[in-house]
Amino acid sequence: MFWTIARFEMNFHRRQYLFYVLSGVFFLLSFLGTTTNGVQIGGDFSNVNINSPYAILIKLSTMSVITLLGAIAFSASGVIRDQELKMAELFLSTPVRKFEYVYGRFFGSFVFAAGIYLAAALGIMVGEFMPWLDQERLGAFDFNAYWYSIWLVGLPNLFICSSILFCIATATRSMMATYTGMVALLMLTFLLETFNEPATVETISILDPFGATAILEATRYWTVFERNTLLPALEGAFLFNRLLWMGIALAFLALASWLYPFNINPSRKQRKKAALLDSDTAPSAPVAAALPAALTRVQQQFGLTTQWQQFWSQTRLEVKSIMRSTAFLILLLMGLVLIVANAAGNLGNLFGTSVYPTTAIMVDIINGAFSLSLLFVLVYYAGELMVRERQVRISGIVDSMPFQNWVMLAAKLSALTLVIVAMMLSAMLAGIGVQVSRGFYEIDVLHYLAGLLFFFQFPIYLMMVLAIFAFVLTRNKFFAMALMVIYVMFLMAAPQVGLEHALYRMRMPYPAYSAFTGYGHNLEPILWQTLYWGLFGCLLLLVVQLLWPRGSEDDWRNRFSVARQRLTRPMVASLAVVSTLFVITGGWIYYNTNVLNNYSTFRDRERMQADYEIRYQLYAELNQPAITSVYTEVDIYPDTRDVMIKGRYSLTNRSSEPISEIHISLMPELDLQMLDIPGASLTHVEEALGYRIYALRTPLAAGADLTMDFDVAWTTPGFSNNGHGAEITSNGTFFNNGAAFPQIGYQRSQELQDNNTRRRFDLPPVQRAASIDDPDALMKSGLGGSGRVNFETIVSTATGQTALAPGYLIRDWQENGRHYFHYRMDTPIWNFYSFMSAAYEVKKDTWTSPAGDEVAIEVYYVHDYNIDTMIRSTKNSLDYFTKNFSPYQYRQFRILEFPRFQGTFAQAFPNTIPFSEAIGFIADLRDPREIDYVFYVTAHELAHQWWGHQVIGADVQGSTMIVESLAQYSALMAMEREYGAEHMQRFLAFELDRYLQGRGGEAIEEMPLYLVENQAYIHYRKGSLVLYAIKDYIGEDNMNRALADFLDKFAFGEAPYPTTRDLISSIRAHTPAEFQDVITDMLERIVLFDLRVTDSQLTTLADGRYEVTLEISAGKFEASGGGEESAITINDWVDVGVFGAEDPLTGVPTMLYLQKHLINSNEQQIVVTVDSEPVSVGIDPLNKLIDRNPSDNVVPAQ
Amino acid sequence: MLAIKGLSKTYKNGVRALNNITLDIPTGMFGLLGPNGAGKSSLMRTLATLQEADSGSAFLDDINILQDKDSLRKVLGYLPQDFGSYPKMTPLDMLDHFAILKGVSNRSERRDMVDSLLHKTNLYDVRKKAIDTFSGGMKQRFGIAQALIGNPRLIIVDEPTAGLDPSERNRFHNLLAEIGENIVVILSTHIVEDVSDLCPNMAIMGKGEILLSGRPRQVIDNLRGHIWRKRVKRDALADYQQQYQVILSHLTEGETVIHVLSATHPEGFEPQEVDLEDVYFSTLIKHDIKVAV
Repeated sequence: MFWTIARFEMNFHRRQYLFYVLSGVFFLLSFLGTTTNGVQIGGDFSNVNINSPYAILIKLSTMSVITLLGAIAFSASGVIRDQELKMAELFLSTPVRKFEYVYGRFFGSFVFAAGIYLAAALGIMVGEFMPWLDQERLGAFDFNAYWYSIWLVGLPNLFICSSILFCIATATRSMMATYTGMVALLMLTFLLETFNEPATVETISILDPFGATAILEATRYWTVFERNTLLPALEGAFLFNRLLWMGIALAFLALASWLYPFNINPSRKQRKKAALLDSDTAPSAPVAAALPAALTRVQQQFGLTTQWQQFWSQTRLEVKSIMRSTAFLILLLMGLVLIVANAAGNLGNLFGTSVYPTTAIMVDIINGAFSLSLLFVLVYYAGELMVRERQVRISGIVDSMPFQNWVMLAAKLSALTLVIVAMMLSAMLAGIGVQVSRGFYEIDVLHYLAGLLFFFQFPIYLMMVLAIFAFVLTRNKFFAMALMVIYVMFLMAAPQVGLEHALYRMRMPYPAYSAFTGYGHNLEPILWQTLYWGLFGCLLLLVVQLLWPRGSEDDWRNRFSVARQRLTRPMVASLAVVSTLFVITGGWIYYNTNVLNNYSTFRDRERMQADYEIRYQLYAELNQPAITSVYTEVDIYPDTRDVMIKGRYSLTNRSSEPISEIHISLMPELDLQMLDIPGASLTHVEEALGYRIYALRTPLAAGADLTMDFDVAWTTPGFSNNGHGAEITSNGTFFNNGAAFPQIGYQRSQELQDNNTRRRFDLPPVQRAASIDDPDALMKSGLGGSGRVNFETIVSTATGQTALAPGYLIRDWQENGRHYFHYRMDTPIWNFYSFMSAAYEVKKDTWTSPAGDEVAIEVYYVHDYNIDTMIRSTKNSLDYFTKNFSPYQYRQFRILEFPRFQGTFAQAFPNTIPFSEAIGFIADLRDPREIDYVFYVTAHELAHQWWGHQVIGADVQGSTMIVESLAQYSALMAMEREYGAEHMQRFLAFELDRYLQGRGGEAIEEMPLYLVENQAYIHYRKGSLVLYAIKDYIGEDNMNRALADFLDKFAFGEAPYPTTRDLISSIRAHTPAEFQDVITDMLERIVLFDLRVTDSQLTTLADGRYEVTLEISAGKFEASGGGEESAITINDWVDVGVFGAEDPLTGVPTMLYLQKHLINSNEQQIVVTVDSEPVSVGIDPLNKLIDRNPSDNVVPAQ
Repeated sequence: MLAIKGLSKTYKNGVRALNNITLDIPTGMFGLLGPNGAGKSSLMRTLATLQEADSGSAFLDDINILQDKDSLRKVLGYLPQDFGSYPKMTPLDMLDHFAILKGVSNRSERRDMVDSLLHKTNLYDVRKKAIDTFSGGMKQRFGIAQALIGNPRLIIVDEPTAGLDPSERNRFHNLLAEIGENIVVILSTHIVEDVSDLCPNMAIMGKGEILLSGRPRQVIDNLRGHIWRKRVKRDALADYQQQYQVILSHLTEGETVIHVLSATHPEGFEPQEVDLEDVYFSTLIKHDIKVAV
């Protein structure tokens, strides 16, 4: 009987298009997700093999979530269908047992849900074999990866979700409730994701019904090699998650069977009906004798007023029916929870420290939380509203009523809009709630409304129109949804085939908001695009009017003849007017993007970069003169967003050979209005690539000088397709010379960096850095190539703004409504300088060195929250750095805030630190337990005045270790002095997590620190960890003396520049013999540890002291650049720590004992005696060593 | 008056639903009788502007129904064969909403009209109960109430009594009977009593064609003397069906009574007083339309 029921169910689905359509869509989706870069499923896998087990696992895991959208149509429909078609009675009158019926139904539908999932899996599998794939990125076909993913992840996920949804459907017999259950499941996973931090990940791994967190956790630190070869073992949280949820699924299935009302007991609704019926069987009331006023004539009007009335009445009806549904309330609630959770997750975005919940950030968080779920909700409700009259079988009555088509269409549109507006408004309330709960009262309601209802929502409104169009076109919910999926895929994939123009690809960039500019510079293009697509939406709506289903005609011949009847004169006129406006707006956009500006796609720009390299790479080693002084006049026009540059370089031939040609590179979008080199003529120019060659009539002799004058215009006419760069804005301009000034010679920095892209253009693998053994490269510095320059500039800007550049202010004056600032630096700087302009507040302070030299500290800001912390950090860091390294070389230190859309970083120029609005200025440092990263970033940037500006490495491997790792170390030491050593553990734990994760994202090869090739996860993250650890081994004084020696030898030096070999020998010179191997392990190799406490025993001694016995397991590994690890012998001194209770204020445990013990075997026992009662004990408890499982280092003392 | 000329409609699947229908329908109640699948609903939907015709024309006085749908909808009341309601909506809500859709803009006028319709259809007591909890009869009464909104000149009622119990049907008939005589009311049904109780004019439809039309009295007269009756054994029924044109058979006190159509008096039969049922079934038989009797 079970099989009969199951077969019945299967036969039903087999005859429906739905299964085939969905299978097709999901096959295509995962096929494209494998064979193109435009469609990404589960993330970007460009650094691992296309068919690596890891990529297959993540894709199949993600697809199991996406498939749910289709699977729900099968899982829930069986029971609901019986109900709708009143079939249940038929079934229930046969001698079938309840569980057979229920499970037969479930099984029959689950087979089809699994079928669409397998179609998706097939899409990936077939995709693997497509000939156009990059063959370098294909490993051997690995069937096991599919088998594993399908059986352990995909099918269980589908089974779990289907069971839950089936149970909901059985209990409620409402499609709506079931759908809500699905959205709730999805939201639950989104919600859990926001808590995916090391501290909570274990719990989340178990709670996530899709097991995705457990997989991500198991593979969190996987290297490229591991991702290409391994699958996570079925153990720990992953195993527990699978078992737990399969159990939950079975429980839900049992519940479903139990809940199913098997005898035809009337439901509550039916009982109510019966009651009504009874009351109605009373003898029919005498028919009103006086014949009805109803049939006396009433006034019927069909003017505009009536049409409005009809529209309102219909809208009220639609809205009421939505508002009354519990599903809507649940959706609202889930949305709110999502926002609060997201706020909790995202507001603590840097090292666990929160930022102030400014309205701009709250709006971003809401957008992030809603972007996907809103699309689901929208497409779902569009489908519901569009078919509602037919579904409740009232369309016959309604369709024959005398209203115009627009009435119904407008009412449905309004109701849909209202769904979105209601969700957004409640999101806004939640956002305000979050702000208030964090004691932040600068609430900007207008900003909320504009951001949430207009800027962010506009594309959604258009999607709504599109969804309605799709429904009207197909008159089928599922086909329409499939159309929408295809459309969204087109939006994502189009740029891959070079289709980027805003005229056919609706991609409304959300205008970045900054406290500097408000919505600022890309408001104009956005408003034009809004108008353009708005008109397109109107056009679609007019077509929808023509095709609006009214009556029972479904075939196209009749629909066309109905449409012809509706093509009345006003309709034709509207179509004509709207199309004309649409074309005119489109024309204006085209004029701006393609006539006033150069239209180029992402692909075009890649091509240009490739061409630049192909044509001019041969000049990379060409002997070129060095810039020795720079004088410029830079006029910034914030209102028109233009910059005019006049410059003069002094060039010197520092080589021993004469130079006969000067090569100039300039960013192609800039306009070189004049370039004059006396005695030179332009012999080659390629404007499109910005490359020019000037031949000198008399070659420049060795040691000789010449001057070069130039005028560059950087203008932003109209608006461009991708928006002009954000460098120049109405308030908050920030650019550096690399972006705006002519550069001498071929610029390696303009080459394509991604090897996958390079292969497409037949370019050899990128050389990220010159070899440390390359003698020529030692002649170039890591910053600004050819050496130091004298720098002087006059910057002007609009009155009311302050313009800034490196150097000291000589004079400022106002003239012709503009404000001029004259800066000069009195010592040579690298050829690396920035220009900024904004309306600033300024806070000034002074630091005096022990020798009595004064340094002026100035902070130029818009947000005033953390100015004092920045100044305190500056002073303390100056204390520490001048005492331990060398004197500060400038008389001034300036921090300058810049708008958040220009980046979230701080950058160190001589005496000048541009510092993003988004990182330090809005940090919420009120909780003393959190890491004070404003202090840290300020200290780091200040440290660059030493590491970078005093000494710099040669432009070879390891160069960024000298600049960045040493700045990290310096900042850590300044922090340690301010906050104490106990505080460092949290910071180091973050650094460790980021380093280990960074290894998995490595695109080419992980280098040991001393050969780092500008790899951020190595020079920042690993740099912090190992330099801090080395300091710990050799002592702070030794370490600082080593650095001071290094500075002493190389600061302000000329070529050849030092390398990390010089730095390491300085450090080794101050390292005791027993720790020389530590230097080798940490700086010259990739070494990882696996340390953990397997057991601990606590005994109270007779004298009241405590003895702790730790059982330690210790492993040590060396990794290859690809991430392959092999065990090596351990013989290291490692911290053993014992801790007491946490300090209630800072949350940091008190340290009872911390000593290094020699660990020289894989299993070892250590006994420690302490005075007070221990709470926890651990090996390497402060995470000074690199350990892939840092969380098992510390255990409670037992 | 409603004038239908040469109306034809073939569905995409090849079914010929309407085949050159020509029919003049005067004011007053008009009964359209026919078995399931005769094309009644297709005709009703076409007249209710819900469906296109392939050819032909239909005019309500001067309104071209097929071309000028908007004008017809202003004077149309339509009760479809099977209809539901928005979930949780009450008759009061719905009638008010429909009245607005029908252009009854004046609020107090609308309220009076809705009240009087609720009274008239005996739904006043349940006006605040959800329609989707109504019994079949109540729902049909609600259906007629909405069809009466405004000043309809054409009321189309498609199979309104199917599935109603006798007392409900009676009540429904009373309601229909009250509708004014100056407007066209088309009642489509497969139940003969509906027509014989209510309609001064009628037509019989089958296979998409009008098989017969006229006044009930007149079509009955035409058949007078052609219908004969006999009590037969149940197992002999098949033989009779071979031998005679049996137009219907029914049970009386456990015995089978058959009616046969014959111009002459067949042996062993007694004359039957002709009623509309005999007309209906004999018409169908003549056109070779089998109906489960």
